[in-house]
Amino acid sequence: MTENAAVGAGVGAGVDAEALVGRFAQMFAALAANVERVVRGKRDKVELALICLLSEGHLLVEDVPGVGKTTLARAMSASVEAQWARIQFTPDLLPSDITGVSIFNQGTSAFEFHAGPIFANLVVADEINRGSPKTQSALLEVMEERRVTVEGTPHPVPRPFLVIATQNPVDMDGTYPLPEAQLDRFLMRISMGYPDHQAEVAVLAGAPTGAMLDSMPPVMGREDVARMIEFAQRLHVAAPLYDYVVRVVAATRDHPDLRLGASPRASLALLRASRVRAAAAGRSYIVPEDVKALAVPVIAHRLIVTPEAELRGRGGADVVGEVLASVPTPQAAGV
Amino acid sequence: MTRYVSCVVTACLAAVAGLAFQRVFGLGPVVPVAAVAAIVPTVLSALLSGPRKAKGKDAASGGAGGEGAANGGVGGERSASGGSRGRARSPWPLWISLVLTVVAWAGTAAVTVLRPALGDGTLPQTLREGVLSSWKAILTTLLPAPAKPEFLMLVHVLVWLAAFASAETALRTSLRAAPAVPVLGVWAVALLLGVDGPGSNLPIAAATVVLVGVLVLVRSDGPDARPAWRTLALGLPCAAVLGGLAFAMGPLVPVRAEPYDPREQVQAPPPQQRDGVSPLDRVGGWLLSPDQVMFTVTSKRDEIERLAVLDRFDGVTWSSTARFVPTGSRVPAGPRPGKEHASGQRITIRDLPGVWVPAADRPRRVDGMAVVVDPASGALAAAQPLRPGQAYTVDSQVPEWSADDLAGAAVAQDAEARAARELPWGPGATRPPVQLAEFKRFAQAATRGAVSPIQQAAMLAEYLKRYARYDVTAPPGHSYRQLDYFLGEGRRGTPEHFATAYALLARSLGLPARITVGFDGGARTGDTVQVRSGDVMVWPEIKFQRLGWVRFNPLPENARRSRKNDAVAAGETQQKLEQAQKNAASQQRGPGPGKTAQKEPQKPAAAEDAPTPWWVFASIGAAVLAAGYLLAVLLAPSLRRRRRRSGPPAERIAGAWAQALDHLADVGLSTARTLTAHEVARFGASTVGEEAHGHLRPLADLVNRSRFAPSHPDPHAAADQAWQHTDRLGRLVTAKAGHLRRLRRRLHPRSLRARRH
Repeated sequence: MTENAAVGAGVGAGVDAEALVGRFAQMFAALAANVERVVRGKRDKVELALICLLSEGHLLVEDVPGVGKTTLARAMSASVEAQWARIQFTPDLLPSDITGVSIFNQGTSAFEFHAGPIFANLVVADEINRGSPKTQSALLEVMEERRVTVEGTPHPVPRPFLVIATQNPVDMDGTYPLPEAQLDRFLMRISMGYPDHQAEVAVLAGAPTGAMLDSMPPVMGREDVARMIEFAQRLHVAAPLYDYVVRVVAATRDHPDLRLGASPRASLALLRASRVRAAAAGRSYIVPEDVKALAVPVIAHRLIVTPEAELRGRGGADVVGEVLASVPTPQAAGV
Repeated sequence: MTRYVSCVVTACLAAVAGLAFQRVFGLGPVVPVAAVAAIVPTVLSALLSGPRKAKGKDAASGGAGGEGAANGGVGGERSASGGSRGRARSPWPLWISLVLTVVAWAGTAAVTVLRPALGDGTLPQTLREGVLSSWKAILTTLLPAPAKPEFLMLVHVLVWLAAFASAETALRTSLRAAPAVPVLGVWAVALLLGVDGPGSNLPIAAATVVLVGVLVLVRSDGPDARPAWRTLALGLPCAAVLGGLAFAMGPLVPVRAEPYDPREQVQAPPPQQRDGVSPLDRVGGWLLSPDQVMFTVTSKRDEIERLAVLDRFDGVTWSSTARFVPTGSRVPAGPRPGKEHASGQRITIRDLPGVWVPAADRPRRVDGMAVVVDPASGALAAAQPLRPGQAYTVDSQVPEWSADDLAGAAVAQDAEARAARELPWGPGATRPPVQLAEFKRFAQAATRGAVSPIQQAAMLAEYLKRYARYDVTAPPGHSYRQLDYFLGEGRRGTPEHFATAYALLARSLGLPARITVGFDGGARTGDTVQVRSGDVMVWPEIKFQRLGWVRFNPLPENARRSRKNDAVAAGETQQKLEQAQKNAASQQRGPGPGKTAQKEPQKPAAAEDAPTPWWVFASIGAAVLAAGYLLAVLLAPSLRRRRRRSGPPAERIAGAWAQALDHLADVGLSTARTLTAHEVARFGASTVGEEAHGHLRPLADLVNRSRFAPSHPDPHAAADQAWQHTDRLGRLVTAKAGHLRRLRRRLHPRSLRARRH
């Protein structure tokens, strides 16, 4: 058994998580460093994306074109030796273009399922808000249940399975905003942002991104990723932290600037992502830092701000920040 | 080792605290009792409650540690350390020590303090009285109390308990100064019982301060560490200096002139009829047979011997309201005159009947006979009727009043003086006797022109001297009717008549008066004066403010001359007093009764007796509050820090974090309630500097791990590490914020309570 395999197997066999979490952190750092070779100056975004991957969640990247959204997805898939697919959402894109279709085979006199691009480990749903609501909703089942049902037959997607959807927040003409139900299915929403000056200079001076992507060596296999996912979800969470997560999420439900607060799915997602962040930091336990660091990307996109607050320029991230500044951390309660 | 050294110190502390009872019993009787009661229980506790060496599996497996930890508390802590070191086991349970110390106490008491009772078979009764009732008996006894076994039992019990509790605390806990606390109980009782006692406890208090310092030094590195001899060597001189300071500064500590005395709260025994026949009733008979030798006095100086003080008149007889209490030897002092002289006498009883014990006024110390004393008047009485041959020595301080003392004196207004103005109607009388009005007119006529109480008193005495004749054959009696006869038709009488008539006349004028029976004169042979029945004397006394009771002599001059030729001259003091009274009366003989010449001299007396102004109490109260506040704000953070440093490792780490937040509050951290540990660390880095971050970051990791991780590989080491970081952070913050700012924050009322970060 390789060391990578031990990460997953060890937890299952009851081996001390303390000893294995260091290995997890090493692997995480190697993965992040590999992705950062092409997505430069965005270490924090890369780490969030990897946390999403290892939490088995989905990532919504909301940013203008040309900041590296697709590159991020391709680099991740190349790093984990995973199969990736890209779906360019357009108004005329049909659900079957995503999930696949059943075609009658005259030779066998039976319908055969031809899998669509969704059957990949990493799926880049580019400009997802340009797809029609019907097409967008085709993603609902597969994102949550990790399977596609065509003509009554379920077809599971491979694991790990990560949807990296992008959307352009500026050019809104001819777009269909994602419904709340679908937004809630994304573990995180991040914004890539422009690279800083140094990073952009390095991009210009470096090799072409496409060439680099083609020559990137994989850092780990799909099985390793699956074991890391399993390992992370078994990390210890102290009782006060459950309480803290619930307090933070519950505080959004009573906030006057919000029309809709975060759901229990948000609590689960926050805890799940926090576990991965803790393991990535080499800890076998979660601390309030993990929760606070992930609260904005995990919760903000699930909130619906009131029109009045929106007019004042407040968004979901502002509200989450305010909530974090008002809910006492378990340290304060315990000391 | 440190635990046993601590026990030696606690034994010394208990013994020294026992010596504080020297104000109750004197030093001699207390020393052996305190020494035995301190040493025996300490040795017993050291044998039973000291750390036991581990045996075999226990030590190897640390089983005791697990058991102790399950028990929790102090035992758990000890066991945990023992388990980690694998050397010691928990001591025997406390109840075993308790049972054995009770048994040992009973045995030790029986063969030491109570040995006399063991011989005569009264051991159980004496033991019970000693434990349950001795404190009450001591409170009703004038100090120094006699060294009776049942009294000394109180010292034995208290010192034993304190020594036992101190030793057990020293052996079973890691607290530094707590073993000294039980000793304070002994001190409290000794101080309360010895408030009125002679001598000073200052040297003993200084020794206690030194010993407490030594105890803290010995236990400075914890009870399980080896004794810090180096620290001890450095600290001992400091403790000695501290004790010396306590000794030197003790007299300068402002205390109340009259400290709280629990004896004032104790109900004294009710007045008793000490004698079947009043000495006043014996006067007539004694004068008719004047050669009966009553007692002999060995003294170089002639003094008037006072026998009985009679201050209550019921219309027919005079009696005493004295509340007698037992005394070891001391008699409390009365009012301080401007001048007095000492008198030492040895008195041997011959034919003096009754229980009243003669002595020069005012006795201060009586040795050689068990007596009871009236603290108010200083009158003495024997516990049993006097027997021929009984002898005792008495030291007295005889007041000498000058004309100046008497000239400015105003009559007393206290409760005793008010009672001494009463003129009761008589037993069963339903209306005032007709003689009272006559007496008043008589007294007013006798004192016409007097403008001050001393003038009234002196003129009344002079008037009676001239008014009646001294005649020992006059029929005895001193009721209203008999005195009316004496003042009206008879005009001859014995000292009984003169004194009682004077007292009633004085009372009718509003002067507080009483009479005293005693002896004046006697036949001197060398240093020995034979006092006979014919030397009996009765004299009246008037109570003045500041002076107390002043004797007056209303007897005609021929009363002395009528005595036998070999009688000694009247006391020099008495002559001086009479002259002073005459001078005072003549000094104040003013132009008329309408003038108020007496008012001026009354002023100083009024000022002296005036109640203390309210602002004095307010100032004292404010000073006490300020001192208490200062003590509290300075002590509270130290106690909090001490509490935070104790307990299981997780609590110690949490305490280190709380302490670090307190430090950061000094550089502007207002609240950390919503901050994570690392956010606080970043705040510290931004305000104190990167060096602080170097301590805060690992401290934050330790706190997070302690609170949120399922386990920790070495929690004790982590707790020590956390406190090291906190201490270093504290030094950095002090350097950054400055001592002045820290002190200012320390003095703020907020420092009284733990901050909610």
